[in-house]
Amino acid sequence: MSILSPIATWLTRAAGVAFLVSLLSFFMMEALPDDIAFQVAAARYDVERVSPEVTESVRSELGLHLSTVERLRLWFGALLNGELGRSFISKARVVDTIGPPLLRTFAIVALAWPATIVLGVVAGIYLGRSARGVAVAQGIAAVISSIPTYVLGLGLVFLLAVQLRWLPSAGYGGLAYLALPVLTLALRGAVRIALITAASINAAYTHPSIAFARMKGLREHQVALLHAAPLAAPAVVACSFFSLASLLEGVAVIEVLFAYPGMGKLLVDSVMAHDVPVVQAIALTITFMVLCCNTAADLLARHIDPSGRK
Amino acid sequence: MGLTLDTVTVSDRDGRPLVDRLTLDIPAGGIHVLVGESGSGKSIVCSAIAGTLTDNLSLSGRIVLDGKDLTCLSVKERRALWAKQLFLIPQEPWTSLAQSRSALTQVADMPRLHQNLSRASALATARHRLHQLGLSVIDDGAKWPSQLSGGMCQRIAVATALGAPARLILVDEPTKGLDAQRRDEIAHALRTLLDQGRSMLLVTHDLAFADQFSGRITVLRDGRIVEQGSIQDVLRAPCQPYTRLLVRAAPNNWPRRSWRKGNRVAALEDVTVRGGHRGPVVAEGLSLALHERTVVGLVGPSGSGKTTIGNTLLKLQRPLRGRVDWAASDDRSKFQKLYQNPDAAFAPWRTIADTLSDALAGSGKIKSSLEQEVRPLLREVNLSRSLLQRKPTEVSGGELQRLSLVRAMLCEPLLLFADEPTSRLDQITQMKVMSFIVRLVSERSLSILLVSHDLDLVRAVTNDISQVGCATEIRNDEAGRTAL
Amino acid sequence: MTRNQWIGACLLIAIAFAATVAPELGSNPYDQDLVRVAETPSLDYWLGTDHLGRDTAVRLAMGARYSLGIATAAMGLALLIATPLGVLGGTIRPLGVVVRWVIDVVQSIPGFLITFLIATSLAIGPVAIVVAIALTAWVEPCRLILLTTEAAVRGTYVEAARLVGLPTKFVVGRLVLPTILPALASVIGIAFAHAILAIATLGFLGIGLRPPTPEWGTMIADGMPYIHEAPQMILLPALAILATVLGFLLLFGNTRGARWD
Repeated sequence: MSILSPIATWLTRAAGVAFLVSLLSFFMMEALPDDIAFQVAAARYDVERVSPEVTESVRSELGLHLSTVERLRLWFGALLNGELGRSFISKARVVDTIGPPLLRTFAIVALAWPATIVLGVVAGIYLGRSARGVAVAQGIAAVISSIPTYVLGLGLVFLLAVQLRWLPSAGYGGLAYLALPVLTLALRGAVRIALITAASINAAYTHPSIAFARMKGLREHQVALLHAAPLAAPAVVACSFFSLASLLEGVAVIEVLFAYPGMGKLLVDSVMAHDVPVVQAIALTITFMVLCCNTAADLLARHIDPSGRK
Repeated sequence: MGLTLDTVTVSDRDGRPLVDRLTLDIPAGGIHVLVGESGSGKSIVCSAIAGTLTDNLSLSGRIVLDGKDLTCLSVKERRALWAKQLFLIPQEPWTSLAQSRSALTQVADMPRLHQNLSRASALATARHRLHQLGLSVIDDGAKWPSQLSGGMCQRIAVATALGAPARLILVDEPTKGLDAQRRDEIAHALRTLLDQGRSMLLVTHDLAFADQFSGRITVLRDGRIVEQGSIQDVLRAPCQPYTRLLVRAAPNNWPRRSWRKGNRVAALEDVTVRGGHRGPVVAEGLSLALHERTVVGLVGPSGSGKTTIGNTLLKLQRPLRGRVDWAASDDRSKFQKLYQNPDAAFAPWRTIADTLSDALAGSGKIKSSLEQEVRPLLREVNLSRSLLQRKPTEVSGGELQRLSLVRAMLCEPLLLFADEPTSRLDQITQMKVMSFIVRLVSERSLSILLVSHDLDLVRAVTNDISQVGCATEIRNDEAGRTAL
Repeated sequence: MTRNQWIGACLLIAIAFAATVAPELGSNPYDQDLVRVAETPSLDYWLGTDHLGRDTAVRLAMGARYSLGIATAAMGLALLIATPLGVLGGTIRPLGVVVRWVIDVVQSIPGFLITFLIATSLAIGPVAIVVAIALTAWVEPCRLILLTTEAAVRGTYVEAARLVGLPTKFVVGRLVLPTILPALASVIGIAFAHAILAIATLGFLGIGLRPPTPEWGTMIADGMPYIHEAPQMILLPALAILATVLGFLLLFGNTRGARWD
């Protein structure tokens, strides 16, 4: 019973999340003040060539002439069958449409996340040795977190692409184009991890078990590894996973900034074009990945946290 | 390895002495006990000797260990002495054990470091020491400190000390937070250290515990020496009035009282209770009756559900089965509770007077009569009216607990559920508060359910005692279930 | 008030001042002066001009008015949702379970995603943004109110008050609610900071605004092509955002290592 309960809780949560995201996407279609059929038709063909007949044909094709309740039923029915549908604009299967951009975004995340952790933990260990260091970490984190990520990105563009001309400022075509997006995301995530690491390490050293370990005659490096690190680790691990979730959330705007053809940019473009099936698919993908991150964070934190061990 | 303290003074930043010109002597192989209430400075003495005083405290005087003056040493030199020349067993050692390493490996650190043994032999030595102290449960799956009770953690600390080459052992409050029954176990554990010829400075507030050793004793009050002498002499025939008060404050020295039992006030009939919203069952088929002018004691280790049973009696919680009978009255306010934390009944942002007048209002009286109602009660508990205008944070623990008593008495209760009412208080304050409570039994024909983990305290007040939860050794959430 | 809180307060007062007073003085934020395009600060134009010759200083001030206004409206709406849900959820246990589940689900979805989708679904205009932000900002305050209420309701002085016979309304009003306020201030402050960032990001993507409206994020987006010649077009709005968000975080936030996003 004890292993079943958290799984059941997680499943209900996942179901609720999927439902809500799907509903939001559906709501996107419903609430639009402009005629979505017209919008879609205009996006498919030229705006000039869209006549009332074309609009009508698009409308019936998308099933927009049915009542709201009908469409809701079809919508969720398709979702439960795993049918993600076809893009309104390109008419290609949604799965095919989001595949390649998903991989490209994965490239960024796969590089940015380890970079974030390494930068953050190293800086955090360095700063965590004194209370003053923690204060410095707080200050830096406060300032960097107060500017939007895209401003950070632009700053790096200015520095590295414009002034120094080391890296390309936008587009896609190879490893170099990944550099600035990865650097921007890594920098933003790293300051937070550095702060949590510094604060955790600093706090760990005030724990009574450290004093007793020293009294026993343990050498400082043994105290650090065997006693301080396990105390600080849970918070840092949890933060690392939360930072992965933030990464996934923030990658969209960064891709737009750097004109990087990943999943995030596709999301923004699709939203602008009201291509709802694609939007829903991407939204579900991102949300599911974030959910996994948060769950992993919770599980690992609970597993690593020594005081919870039985 | 003899230790001498010569006019040692520890002052804080404002120059106030927390330890004032302390002079004492520990002969090689002997024990010196330091007793006093909290705030007497006794734990600071341990830190001063070990060299772990916080930065805001300054030290003057001499601390001579085996001919060497420790106060002249640098921080690094001080630290080099740890485990090799002196060893401090800290208060509440369950917080000092790392949660991520097994108890055995932590004890095995000592032979590895100081006897240079291999990992396997160190573990074997550690296991042997733990068995000597009666901790064979380590082998039966209770590996992690979080699975061990307070008494076991204390013995693990002693086992750690056994592995230290240090000839001087400093022990800080070894029975704090432990049930009084653990006294013998801990005393026995400490004696294994003494038997090896080591010297010991034992700091404790528990006079009965101190009495288990033979050596010298110093009584401290506010950092100053009140009395010094041999342990048995000072405890059996104290010279100073403060020492006499301290001795009298030990529950087993309290005068016995008896009352004439009256009518039934309330009872639990065949009750089955569960702890908390979805917690384990703490009592099955329990029947308990309370009458006028009686004190019923409920003892057991912490977590055994004593509070839950009391709450059920007060109808704060519904039992799974059985009946709660309020024979004497239907009025809610006739059944009151005293909490373990003195500030529990007082919202921190309201003055004492406000909270007291709320109590009046709740029991149906007019708020403006607060002055008249409260005055005689305050006199009874020996408190001044000026306390009324203060906030809870501006009042001491002992005073606040007496004010909680006043608050409860304002409702003219028939039954008082005293839930560990003095466990957060000093012994002398504890004696005062308990004497007020006990006086109310005869003066107001009160009925009291006294809950405590301290059997000595309860035995000193009443003979009618129920024990809840078997003597458990493993600290866990399944209160009252597993027994050793 | 700590030193950090003073700094935060000063920043916010400065921004608020700019928002209320400045648009009245100075030139019109929509006036284009095509002769003096993308200039650095000068006597005529204190903070320079943008790519269409509009006065940057006035546009920044108008942007302050816009951002603060929307953030305040959004937080107001968020609290309107959060408070009753939190208080009722904290006092009535089954309702608390439901509210907790809803909070869990909503928090599992990336906040920006929700904001983004809602903002683009509703009609263009400030209302869309207010609703979009409110629907993500209500969660943390609600959680806090729920937990604080629950703790207070189970707390000892509430129990003691009930033992004495005091009625529930009194207990909730005098003993439970005052515990909520101090922690709530901090949560709301941080939520404000997030709201400003969200507004700036939506503006950057061009959502929710009709074109000539000055908004900091939009101004940054406008400045992107001119990053070589006139980096100040990006830098100045960025500083404005930094000042505002930092102001909120310093004044209200507990900067100890709390979760930033």
